[in-house]
Amino acid sequence: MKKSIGTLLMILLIILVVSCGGEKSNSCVTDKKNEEWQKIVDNPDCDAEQKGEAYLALGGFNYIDFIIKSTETSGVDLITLLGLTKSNWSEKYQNFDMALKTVSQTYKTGSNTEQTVALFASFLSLYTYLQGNLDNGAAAGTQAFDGTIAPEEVSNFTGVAINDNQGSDGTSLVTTKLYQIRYNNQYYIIDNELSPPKVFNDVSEDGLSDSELTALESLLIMQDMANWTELNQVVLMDALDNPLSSQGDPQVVLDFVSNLLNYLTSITDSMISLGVDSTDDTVKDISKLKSDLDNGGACPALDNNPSLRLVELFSTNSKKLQLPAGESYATHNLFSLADLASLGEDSTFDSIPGTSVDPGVKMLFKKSDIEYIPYWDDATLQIKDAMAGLEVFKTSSVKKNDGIIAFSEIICAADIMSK
Amino acid sequence: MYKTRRIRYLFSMVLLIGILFAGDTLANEVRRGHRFLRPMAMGEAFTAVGDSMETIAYNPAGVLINGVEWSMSYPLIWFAYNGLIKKAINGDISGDDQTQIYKELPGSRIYLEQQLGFPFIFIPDKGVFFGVSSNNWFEFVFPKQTIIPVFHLEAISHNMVEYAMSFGFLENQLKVGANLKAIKRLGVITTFSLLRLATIPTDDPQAAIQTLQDEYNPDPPPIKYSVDFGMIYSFRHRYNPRIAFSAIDVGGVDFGSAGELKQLNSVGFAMTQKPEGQEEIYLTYSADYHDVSFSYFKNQSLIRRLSLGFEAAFGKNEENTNMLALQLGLKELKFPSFGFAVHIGIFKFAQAQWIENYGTEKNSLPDKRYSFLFSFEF
Repeated sequence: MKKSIGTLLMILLIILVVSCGGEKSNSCVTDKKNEEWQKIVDNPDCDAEQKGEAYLALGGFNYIDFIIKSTETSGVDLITLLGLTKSNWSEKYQNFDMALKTVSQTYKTGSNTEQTVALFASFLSLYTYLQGNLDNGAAAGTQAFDGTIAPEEVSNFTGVAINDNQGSDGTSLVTTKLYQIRYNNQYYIIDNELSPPKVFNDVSEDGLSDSELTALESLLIMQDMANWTELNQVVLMDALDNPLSSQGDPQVVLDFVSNLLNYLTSITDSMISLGVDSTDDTVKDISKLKSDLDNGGACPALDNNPSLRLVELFSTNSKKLQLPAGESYATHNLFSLADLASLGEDSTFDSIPGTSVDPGVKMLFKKSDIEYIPYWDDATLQIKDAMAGLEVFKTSSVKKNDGIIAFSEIICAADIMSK
Repeated sequence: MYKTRRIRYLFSMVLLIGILFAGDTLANEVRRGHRFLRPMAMGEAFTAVGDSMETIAYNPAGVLINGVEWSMSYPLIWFAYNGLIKKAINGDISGDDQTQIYKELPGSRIYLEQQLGFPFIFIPDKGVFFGVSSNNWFEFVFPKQTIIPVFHLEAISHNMVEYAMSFGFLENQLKVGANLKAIKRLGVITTFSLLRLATIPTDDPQAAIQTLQDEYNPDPPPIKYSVDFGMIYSFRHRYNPRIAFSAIDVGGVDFGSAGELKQLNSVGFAMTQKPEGQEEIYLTYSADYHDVSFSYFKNQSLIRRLSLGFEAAFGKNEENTNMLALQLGLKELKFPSFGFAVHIGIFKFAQAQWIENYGTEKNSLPDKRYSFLFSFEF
């Protein structure tokens, strides 16, 4: 009998050993029920899903509050909902950003909850990041987190400010009577200031005159306008104000753009992971913000200050460095008249009767009082500084819904966020 | 004698094998194989009671009851629901104030459960129990913590065949029993996003069900095996005081997308009093300390594990059931429960009301539940 009792005690001991071990993960569940979020993020045994949710909670987000507010006629005021202030936005942003970082490696193949954490963390990081950086009250006469992002606040953050100075804001290019044409797959310059006009070779296809053609060759080319396949009026950039003032750091703005891109990508990816389409109201709101941000740079702020978009265009289409000998500038420094006109370029361009080709503009940069060049790196210091300041945005696109936030779209974020 | 020893040896081996080979995974739900009304009404302080068929879900050692030949239970109607369903039945839920509905949503749950009528065969004198059962429940839960829009869904059919044996030692003062279970679960237990739910097509229910099934339960779990173990020691006293230990689902059972069962270890005390001169009255007192090895609840939570139970019963039928019984309970020393049962002839009607706490000791989240039973008992 003693043996039987001993066997039973042994069984009991084994059972107790087998049953132990669940406490650590249970503490995460208990801490969640007790809303002790800090304990969860500090506990290495809690998983990404639990920590991600805890970070969102520490940031002050609660979905049911969001839903309740959305049923009210005044709509959702996320600033109030999240309790964003000038002193706490950074901490809240860090929490939302950490929520995203915590699940970013696993959510695509993770649980539904994890994917939902990723979606909300992306959206809230994006919102807090934009709001904190732009509605910051840093500029004189503005209020932080008042729901209105003043142009001054945006300028203060981006360091972008262009005064409407005739000639140096980019809206008054110096037009010439020189025309770059393409004829029989060769580029030529017609100098219309001369009488009679003369034709020159354009070997580098850069808008600069090279050797002069004979009178017969010139006459032949000028009379055969029907066979011109390209026509660009040469314009000169004599001066350009740097849109980034001394307080602006292009890298800061570049990082800003990069982060926005990452958040938007995460929003899209997490929505795909969840299998969510755009019919849900919440998703509609998120999608609207995304499409509004990635709107092709169209907004009143830019309409009222087209110089910003004009210089952005200059930066995008211009050649920075001199090309090696023998290479062509044909596709560089080239602008359509329609683009320039739509962006407020005031210069008057010539119309050339007799040709069916849509005329364009070929730009040259002032190097000195007597020399213009087809790249801006050796241009006057003022032009070089301005173009260098804008260069960081050169790879960005300003097409609508292209998934990329361009410089002008950042400017437009001011308008969007104020709504 | 030799045969009895051999059976005991075989039984011990089966038990050990069951313990060693049972999965060590952990579950997220607190649940036993059955929800019997009598233990629920007694606050689930039932580990040491061991005097009726319901002991099968709490302590298999209790299936050995000397002097009771056999009984069979066949539940015709068995269902349970919670407070929200009751409100809906009573027409107390209005959809007019949308904001108010959203405010009341966190922590709310819909619970429905039904047990299909399969007979339980119980031979207490031999310490043998055989049962086939199918518990089907549906729970739809909005978490109390609404940081992200997710909800919890349980739609489970828990089908079980079980065979329990109990042996007596020390002139039956010590009873040791085990319950061997084969469980087939169908359905799903998951937490998923409200955003995902919103995009599942509702105009085609068949497609919606197929989508959910493909997404959340593509491979229904195979039959799983589990073992319960229990001991009851009775002291020689006129009140029959007894102490007990039980380990339910030793090692835990992992059903994959259909949830998990953790090992639940409990200790308990019970005694039954027959007031002097009142031979037909039975007063049973019980107290349990659940989850002694912290599988379910955090180890600081002492009160969370305590339960008290009381039953006043009148009369004793041949199959060891009472003609009339009233139960009271107190789970976690603060959530009351009660129930009653009437047994006339072969007909039994019982009702119980109890509270499940889905929160913690610090932040409780009670859910009131109701259950009814109409069965044949022989």
